[in-house]
Amino acid sequence: MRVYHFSEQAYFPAWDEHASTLRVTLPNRKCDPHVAADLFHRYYDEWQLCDELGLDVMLNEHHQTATCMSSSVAVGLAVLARITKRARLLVLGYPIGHRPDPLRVAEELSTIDVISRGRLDMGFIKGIPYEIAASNRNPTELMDRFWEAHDFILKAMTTHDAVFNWEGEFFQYRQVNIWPRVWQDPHPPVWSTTGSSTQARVLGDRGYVMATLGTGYGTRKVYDAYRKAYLAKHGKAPGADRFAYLGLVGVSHDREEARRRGYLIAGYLRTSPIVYPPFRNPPGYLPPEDNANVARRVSAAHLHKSRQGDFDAACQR
Amino acid sequence: MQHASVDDLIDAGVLFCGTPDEVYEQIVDFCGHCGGMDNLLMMGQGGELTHAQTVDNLSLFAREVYPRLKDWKQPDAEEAAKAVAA
Repeated sequence: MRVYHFSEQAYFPAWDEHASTLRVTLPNRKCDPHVAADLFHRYYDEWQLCDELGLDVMLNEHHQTATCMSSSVAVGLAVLARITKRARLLVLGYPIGHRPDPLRVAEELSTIDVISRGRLDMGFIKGIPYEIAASNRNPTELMDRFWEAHDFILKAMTTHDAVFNWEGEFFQYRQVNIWPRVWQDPHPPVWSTTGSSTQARVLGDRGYVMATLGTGYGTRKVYDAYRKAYLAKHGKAPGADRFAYLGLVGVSHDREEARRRGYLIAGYLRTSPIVYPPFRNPPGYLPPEDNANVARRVSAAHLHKSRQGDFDAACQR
Repeated sequence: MQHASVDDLIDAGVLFCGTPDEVYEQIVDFCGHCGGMDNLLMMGQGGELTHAQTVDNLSLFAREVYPRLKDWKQPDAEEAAKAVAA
């Protein structure tokens, strides 16, 4: 098993003054750059420690939020590629459907793969709904942009003997020929994330490493969807190395201290959903069938609550 | 999960928490349940966990949990796939 240490590089000093949103509209006046600098240095020190301990490293990016100061994975990867020596560097992930320029993404990632001497794991993701407000993308076409950017980046990384021309729906380029070319052959391993069986089948078909994030004991269902698609396409079972899982870890010889650590790390779960409601599910972000499922769940929960309220009132009477 | 207790999170398989022995058991139980999982993305620092706590958390994990996870044998991949193909 490989273990990648992940931190969102949170700006937690602002967590208590959020006025109901920690994302998108939280004024950056609440961020003291001197405090932010100390925190960044601390987080990079901790990743450097992982390198010395034999652990690998994972980083991500979010935008306009006190929950995660990493707003550009290329910046974090560039620092880590230089200050670490052994650790795999997993970006999970790079929201390529939001980016205006996948050529730039291909150049950044190739350069990082070379500086790190082939230690990059390359996770491409859709991005959570709150990122739409920051990137100003049309949510209805986000996945089409994602897959075109994906196709372009891989082609740019694997074309070595001639320039090529790209005439896509979203991106057009002339004379594509990225320097430096990637270290790993044919390109750094591709990862992605999902919590849905539908997307798991897509990833299984492609054979990419699939991660689920905090899906707990519901994870098996998503993994099995991947297994089924992988088996159908590749004629054999996917190895355990095709699966990844994000879990929180708090450990200590003192059981109470371990629980304290677990509680503090879970501050990530308590703060991540604090966002102004209109940013939570922009129209077009989810496919209609998923929105219908969300509506059913909300409706059922509301009905259950109403009935419980009637029951409680009857008991009181 | 926003308002879940530490115990709720452990029971859900979202948080692996306790002594090195307990954390090891929780992780391998989870991997077994999933039919195999070979890449743990460990959130070993979050929110207000201090630098000293984080250093100890990562060091203890690397020293007393990780070596055993490396040695642990993953469930048979073909068996796991057979179950979904059936």
